[in-house]
Amino acid sequence: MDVDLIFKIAAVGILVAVLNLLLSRSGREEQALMTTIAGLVVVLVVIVQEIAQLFDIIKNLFGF
Amino acid sequence: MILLKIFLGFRVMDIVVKAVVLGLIGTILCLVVQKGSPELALLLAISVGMLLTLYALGIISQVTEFIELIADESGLSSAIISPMLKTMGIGTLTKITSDICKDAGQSAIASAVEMVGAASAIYIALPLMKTVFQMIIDLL
Repeated sequence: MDVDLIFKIAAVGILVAVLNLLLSRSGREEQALMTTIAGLVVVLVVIVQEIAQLFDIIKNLFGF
Repeated sequence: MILLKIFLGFRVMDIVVKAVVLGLIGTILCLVVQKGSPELALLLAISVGMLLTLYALGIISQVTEFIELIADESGLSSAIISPMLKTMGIGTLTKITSDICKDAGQSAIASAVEMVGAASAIYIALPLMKTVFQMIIDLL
C-alpha cells in the first residue's frame, strides 16, 4: 500500500479511456462499455482490500 | 516533557511533505483520467483519500496514546475517554465518505451518510449523558 497504488489506478484509467475511444470510434459501442466495466471491476478489486485494511486500522485505533 | 518526546520521536514533516505531494499528484491524475472515464477518476480519488487517511491515522495513534496516558494518570476511567475516541473515528469516516459522495454528485447519499454518523455519535455518547442525568437526579 503506497503511492504505487495511485499510479496503478491512473494507468488503468488512461488505458480504459484510450480503449474506450478506439472501440467507440470503430463503431463497437458494446465492447467499449464492456471495457469500461472491466476496468472498473479490476480497480474495485484492488481498492476493496485496501479499504478493508483501513477499516481494520480504524477499528483498532479508536477502540470499537 | 512527554508531549515533546512524542513529537520529537516522530518525523511529522516527512509525512506532511509526502501527503502534500500525494494530494497534488492525485488531483492532477484525477483531472487526466476524468475526461476518459469519470468512474475511474472517482475510484482514484477514493484511493488517494484512503492513503492520506492512513497517514493521518499514523499520527492520530500517537495522540490517542497520549490522551490515554493522561486519562490513566488523572484516574479517569476509560468509560469516559472511549466514547470520545469512538466519536472521533465516526466523524472522520463519515465526513470523508460524504465528501466523496458529494464529489460524485450524489449529495442525497452524502447527507444520509452524515445522518447515520450523527445518530451513531449521539448513541455512543448516550451512556455519558445518562451518567450526567443520574448525577443531577442524585443532587436534587
